[in-house]
Amino acid sequence: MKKRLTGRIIISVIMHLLIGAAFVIIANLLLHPDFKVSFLEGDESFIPNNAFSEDYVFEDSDIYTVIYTRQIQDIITYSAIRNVIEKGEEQNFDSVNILDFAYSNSSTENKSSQVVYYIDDLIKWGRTGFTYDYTEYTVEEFLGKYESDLALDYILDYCSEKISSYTDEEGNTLISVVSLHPIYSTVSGVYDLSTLAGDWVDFYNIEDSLVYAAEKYSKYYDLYKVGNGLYESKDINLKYILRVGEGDEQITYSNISDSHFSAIETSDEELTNIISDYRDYIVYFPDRLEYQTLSDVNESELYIYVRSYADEFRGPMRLWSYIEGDFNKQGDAFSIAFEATSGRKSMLLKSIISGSLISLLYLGLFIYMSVTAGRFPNGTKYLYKIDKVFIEIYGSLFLGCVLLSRYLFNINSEERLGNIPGYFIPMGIITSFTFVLFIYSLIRRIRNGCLSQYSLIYFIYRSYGSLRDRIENSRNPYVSALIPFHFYFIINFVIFVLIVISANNSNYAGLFFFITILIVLNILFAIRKVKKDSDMNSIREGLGRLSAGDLEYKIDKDSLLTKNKELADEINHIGEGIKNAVNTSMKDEKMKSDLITNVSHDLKTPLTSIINYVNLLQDENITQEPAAGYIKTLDDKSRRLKQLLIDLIDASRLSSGTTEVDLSVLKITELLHQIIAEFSDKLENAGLEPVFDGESGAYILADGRHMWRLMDNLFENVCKYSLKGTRVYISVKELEGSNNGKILISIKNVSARPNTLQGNELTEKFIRGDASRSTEGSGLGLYIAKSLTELQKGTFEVIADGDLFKVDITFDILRKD
Amino acid sequence: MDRVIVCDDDREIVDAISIYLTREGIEVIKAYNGKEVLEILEKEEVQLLLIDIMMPEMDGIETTKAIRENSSLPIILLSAKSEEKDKINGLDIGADDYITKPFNAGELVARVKSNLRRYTSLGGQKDENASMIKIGGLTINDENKQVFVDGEFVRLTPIEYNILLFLAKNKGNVYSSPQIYEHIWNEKPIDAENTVAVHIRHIREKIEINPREPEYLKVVWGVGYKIEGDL
Repeated sequence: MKKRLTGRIIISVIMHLLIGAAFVIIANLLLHPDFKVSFLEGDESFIPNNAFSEDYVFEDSDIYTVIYTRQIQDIITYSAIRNVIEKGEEQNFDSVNILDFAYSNSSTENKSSQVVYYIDDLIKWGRTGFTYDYTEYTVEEFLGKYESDLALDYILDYCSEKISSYTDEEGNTLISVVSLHPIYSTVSGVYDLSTLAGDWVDFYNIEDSLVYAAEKYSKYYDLYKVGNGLYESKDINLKYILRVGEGDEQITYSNISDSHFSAIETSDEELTNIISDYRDYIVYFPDRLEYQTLSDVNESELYIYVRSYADEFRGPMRLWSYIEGDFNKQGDAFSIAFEATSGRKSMLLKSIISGSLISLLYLGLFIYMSVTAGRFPNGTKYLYKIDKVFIEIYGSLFLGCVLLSRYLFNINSEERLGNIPGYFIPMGIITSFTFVLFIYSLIRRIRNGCLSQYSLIYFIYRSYGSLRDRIENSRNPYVSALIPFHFYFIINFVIFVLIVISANNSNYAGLFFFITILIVLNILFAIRKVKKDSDMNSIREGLGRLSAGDLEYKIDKDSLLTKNKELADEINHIGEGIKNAVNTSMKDEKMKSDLITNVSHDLKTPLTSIINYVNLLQDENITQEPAAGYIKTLDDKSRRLKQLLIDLIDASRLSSGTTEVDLSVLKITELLHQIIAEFSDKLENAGLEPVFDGESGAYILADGRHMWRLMDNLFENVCKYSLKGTRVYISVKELEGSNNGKILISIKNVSARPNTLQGNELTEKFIRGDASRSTEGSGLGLYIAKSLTELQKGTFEVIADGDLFKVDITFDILRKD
Repeated sequence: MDRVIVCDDDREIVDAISIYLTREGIEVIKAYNGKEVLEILEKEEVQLLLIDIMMPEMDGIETTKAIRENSSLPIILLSAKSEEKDKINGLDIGADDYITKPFNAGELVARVKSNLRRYTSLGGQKDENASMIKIGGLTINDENKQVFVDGEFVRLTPIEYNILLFLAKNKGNVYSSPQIYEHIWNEKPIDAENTVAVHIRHIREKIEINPREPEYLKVVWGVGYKIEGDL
């Protein structure tokens, strides 16, 4: 046991090492560090996700296109800024009219249209930022500042951001003005901008223009510097030529080295020819709506930039570009991306293979562990002590471990492995550990068939069930009836009280909960009550079937409640008992019948000899007495023995139920006449006169041979036992009233000797009219006749009234003529 | 002279039967099981076999089957089993007649003689004509209104003759008493059942060996009468 446990622990540890390995592989695959590429407006990170695909080609990748697009956008921006900044430098144009700059496209009607600053000053001002001064004026001072007819309300409304009015404690209206704190002067040395303005509105337009110009220039300057570092180098993959203006005004920006071709001196058409030989070239003349490219770069993404810097270019812009594809340049965006994505294809394959191997190994071990859990190699099953803890507690313990690990390691949530939170690793390991432990325990329990045994819910259910059964099955009617009733009442009462309390506290969640509980519990009670009644019904049905003679019927007790199961069991046992008794008696009867038949057959052979030799003796014509008398006796008795044997076989067959019936449609009167005709000689010899009485065209369903046999028996009796010289009445009569649809056949004769037995006793086996049994006949005749009648669904009754002997037979009429 | 094999494992029965048959001028060869019968048949020429069913070694059924493979010798089975199905089974395997034990000596002799006559006269009588009806051993000569059973003349009244002729012409069909009455008397049937039944009984007593178990004119109980068609 110990050795085995150690082995299992080692395998478990190996499994978790495997999980760790798999985790590392997946992490390595997924969390490959992003690479950063610098653009004009900052760095951007890329995650080369799609570099794993088998048909990955860097030049066709999305990353490639994105970088290309962004770089072209940068070139447009950078060139526009260069156009602004460098143009100034070249022409000694170091100052700018800020009003022109701010309202470049709208012809302003400013009273002072010359507010010129040094560009250097503007850049510096934009970088240091703006500070503001606060000045307060009385209304008179404020309006007196400028000779202007602008109303105060208009000014306050127009310049609400900076000029506001308020009333002080003494009731004077004061105007508060926020104005730019001057750091740099204009070229002409003016610091205070208010002196340049014509009115308050003008003043604030100038200030706004100044802020706009300063911010823009400082921003351009920053971009210019970045762009300078990024795109001036000739040692980058992107090659570009951007041309602005025409004729003498034409300016060309390019990073193509002159040894290649002179970008500046080559004409537009020639440039297009040269460039279009390169890979992924772009030729873009936005003013002429010309765009040619072999790359996936989208024109619309470029056009946005062209439009944004339309002011800066001030002339038709043309752009040529291509990629010099060695991707081997230090610090170049394409080169960085190329390096980051190359070689990932093979890594994926390796990762998949090793990952699959690890997974398979893990799966194999898991299956092995699962299959062997709870069973020794020799097949005997075992349970650990821990497996006897309620499964719910066991499960929640593990769940608790997992949650606890989540919070314990939560402190480290800042630590990340790539983009996966740090706590995932310990949590994953603990989850895996507890999960497999739970699974193995579950397997051991299932294997030992004790899953429900050590389950809390089942335990509660079982305890409740056994308690309930004990109460319900109690022999004490007060316990069995009153306790469940009060239990039901109290539960309902308590829940009802809880509902009322919840309603009073406006606790709707509680209200809903308790109402649900109330409904569910009452449904359960109702189901049980209905079940009890339906159980009673099936038991009643079983009893009914049993009493109707269906001994095969069994009450299906599996669906019954425990209480009723016992009852059903008892009833089924009674049915079985009766069935066994009936079967035994049937078998006994059959055995008896077989025995009688076999013995009778065996008796026939010696009897044949006796009869024949008696016959031979008679043929000898012995007249000498008493020998002749002896022979006569032998003859009589041997004949009687023969009849006895035949009757015996028939009777035993009838009583064991092995007689076959072959029903056909018979006409009653035809049958009776046939029989009377058969017996005409015998009746005559016995001195009897047959009288047929009644008319009927009725047909019955019967077996002709059996009818003959039973009539034969009756007429034999008539011939044997009737008083000489009397009449025998044979009558048919269609019955009416309660016996409507039946036909009655009566045979009446007068007995030669008094009847010593009641009519019905005569039809018992081995009974004859004379108890002394001295006359001919087996005593089975009437029994056979009755049995044959009943076999054909008829009734048979013998009435002995004084010397009158009468047999009544009825059959159902099938149809009539 | 006719030669008959009598076979039964009970010697006394064989002896008794031989006494009866010898009296009738029939030569008897005794046998006590089926094998002996087959041995005798190889050597001797016989006209009939009377054989018990239940015997040790080789029973009557097996023997009958063996003989029927190459011979049409008349075979009469003797058996203690009296049930209908036993009889049918015996006749099915090729026996010509079936007598149940304990038998009546007179009936036995009559059946043996009947079968012998039928067998020996089968190929001989070729003077049949259109007005002759032959059913088994029953011959009706309508030209001179004579009836023969196994070659022996039977005297019938005209009514009896007409009934027999009517049923024989329509052999296999069952006729009820009123139907027969209408045919024979050409009148509306009044009390027909009784009249016809008594006549039929008389005919059977004249042409049948055992009227209670008729061979030709059969009673279909509760339905009517017929002459068996396939004899």
